[in-house]
Amino acid sequence: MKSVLEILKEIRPEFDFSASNDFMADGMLDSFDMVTLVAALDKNYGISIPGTEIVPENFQNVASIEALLRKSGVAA
Amino acid sequence: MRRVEKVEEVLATIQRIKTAAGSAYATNFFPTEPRLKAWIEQQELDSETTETCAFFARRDRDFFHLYYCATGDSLLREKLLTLDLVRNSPVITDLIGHEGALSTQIGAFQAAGFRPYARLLRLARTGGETSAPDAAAMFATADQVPQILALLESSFNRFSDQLPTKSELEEAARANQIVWIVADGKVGALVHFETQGFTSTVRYWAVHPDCRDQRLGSRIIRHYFALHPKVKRFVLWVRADNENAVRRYLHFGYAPDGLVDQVLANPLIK
Repeated sequence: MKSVLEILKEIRPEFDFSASNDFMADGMLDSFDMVTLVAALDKNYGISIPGTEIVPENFQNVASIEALLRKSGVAA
Repeated sequence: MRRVEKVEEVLATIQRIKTAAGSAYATNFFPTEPRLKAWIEQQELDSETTETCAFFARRDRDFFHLYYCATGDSLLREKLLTLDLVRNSPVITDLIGHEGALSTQIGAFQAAGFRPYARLLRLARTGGETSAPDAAAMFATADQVPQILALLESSFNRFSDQLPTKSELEEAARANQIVWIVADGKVGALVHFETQGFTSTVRYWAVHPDCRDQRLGSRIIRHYFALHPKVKRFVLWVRADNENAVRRYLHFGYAPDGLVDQVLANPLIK
């Protein structure tokens, strides 16, 4: 199973996501990328992230994405 | 339709429909708060909402941009058929997504009389610029906006190219988001861009018709790249049928990233 960082790197290989605390403010993800990322997370972890959770706050950084995964049933 | 008065009411409507929809949520509405605020202040945004579906119409020159949020694609299809705005006014809508994933939404709009009007491709390139800025290029100022707007309106299609308003351009000029090269006392070539962190988006790249074949277009786009040595991703939208523009962007290292914008027009758009 891939880590969140590995999935992010596949979507936007040009960015160093480990060096950012705010992917949106740093221009590393936009609203269209969020949709792609959700599909990749769903597939990788075998979950279905609800539409209500697809908001920028849940994709701000690696920690917030990991928190979203835990909320969606992925074991820590 | 009724006039939207507050940003909060738009955000609350979106959230309510998202909650009701769960994973079936369908939308083409991704506004930023500053942009919403500007539309509302300029009294350009109307809405028609129910518990399960909302339409937002933004007035732009002589037509409307239509956005929707719905609890599902079938509801969108049903509600579109009853929307007075679509029957009575010129309307454009943009459906954005990955190639091949938009057919259901396109079908819903076609059932309401819309037709494909244009298709835009998102192109992207990586950064890492090391070239020097062009000494003749400069940032546009707010008082130069009228001639910039005139050039954009004569160079682009108002229905498919999301042309800015005068006030949006004035704001862009104040934020140093327009660079240009003057030729014979007028705008020879310009790039209007928006930069957010490590990503920069070209909104418009234009060369005055009297200044073609003087390499001003190449100079101003290279100048734009040179102004952004820390940017790692450059993106833009271009009409797929504008072969000349696509060829030029490919020349400067851009390539399609898979995202498309299908622009649809109702019968009152000629």
